[in-house]
Amino acid sequence: MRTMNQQRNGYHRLDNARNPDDPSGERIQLWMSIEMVHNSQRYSNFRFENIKTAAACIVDPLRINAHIRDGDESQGWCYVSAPDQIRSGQGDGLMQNGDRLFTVFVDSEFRVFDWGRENRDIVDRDSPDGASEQALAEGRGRFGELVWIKTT
Amino acid sequence: MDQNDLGRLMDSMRSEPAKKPGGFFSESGDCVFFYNEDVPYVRDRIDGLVTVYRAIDDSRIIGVQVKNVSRLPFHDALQVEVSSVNQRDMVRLLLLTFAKTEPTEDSTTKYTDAIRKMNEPALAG
Repeated sequence: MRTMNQQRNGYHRLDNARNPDDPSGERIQLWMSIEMVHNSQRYSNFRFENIKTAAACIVDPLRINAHIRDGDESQGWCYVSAPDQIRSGQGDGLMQNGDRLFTVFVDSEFRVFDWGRENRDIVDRDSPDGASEQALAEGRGRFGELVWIKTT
Repeated sequence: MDQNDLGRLMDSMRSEPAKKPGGFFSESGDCVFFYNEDVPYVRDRIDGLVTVYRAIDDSRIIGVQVKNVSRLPFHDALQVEVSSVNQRDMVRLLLLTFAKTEPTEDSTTKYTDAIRKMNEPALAG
């Protein structure tokens, strides 16, 4: 059970995330390694600054997909949002997100390990490309299961 | 922790030296991220193993992500569990990953483009 105010050494805690195991239930904490934050700063300002976009995405996602890797028995989730603006990578600068989605990838240990902009699926405009329910039903889906759809 | 805590953490890192271009291995994602240029980008998934990053202005490839790295043959020899990954490492990773796929014309073109980009002189962005 994940209780409030936990700490993990070497990780930054991201509060108030929607729980992928119980999306309508109590909010949970996700984690981002300090090393991941460091590496983002070292190699891509765009990636680094949009950590804040990722933190917002996990709080109010449009979609949550489970089973994010081919042939991977473990879980892992993809949170999806559609912010109007994202970080430009220049300090606090913002840019229009356009007709794109923002995705955040979380492993089975509830650690955020990737995030970024993606194109929308041509069928389900609130799912990233290749992740629509139709694609899932036809067995050609990018992810294994759609566990959350925001309805309001 | 709230957004302010996250902001403070990020602020504490802003003055640290960058290592651009370059990349790194993520244990939790079992993947390698590599950035040739530091510009805004969109993720473009080739298949379940590789995603390329395309610049917003002209869709050129500016980076790449290779997944399931620990399952690659010769994984130990690649020594990717280090924080810093260079262009040569990325070419090797892409070639090994491509060898595991069932290539299509489209995926072959995209892999080729990604490998070619990794062989170009990198731009700091």
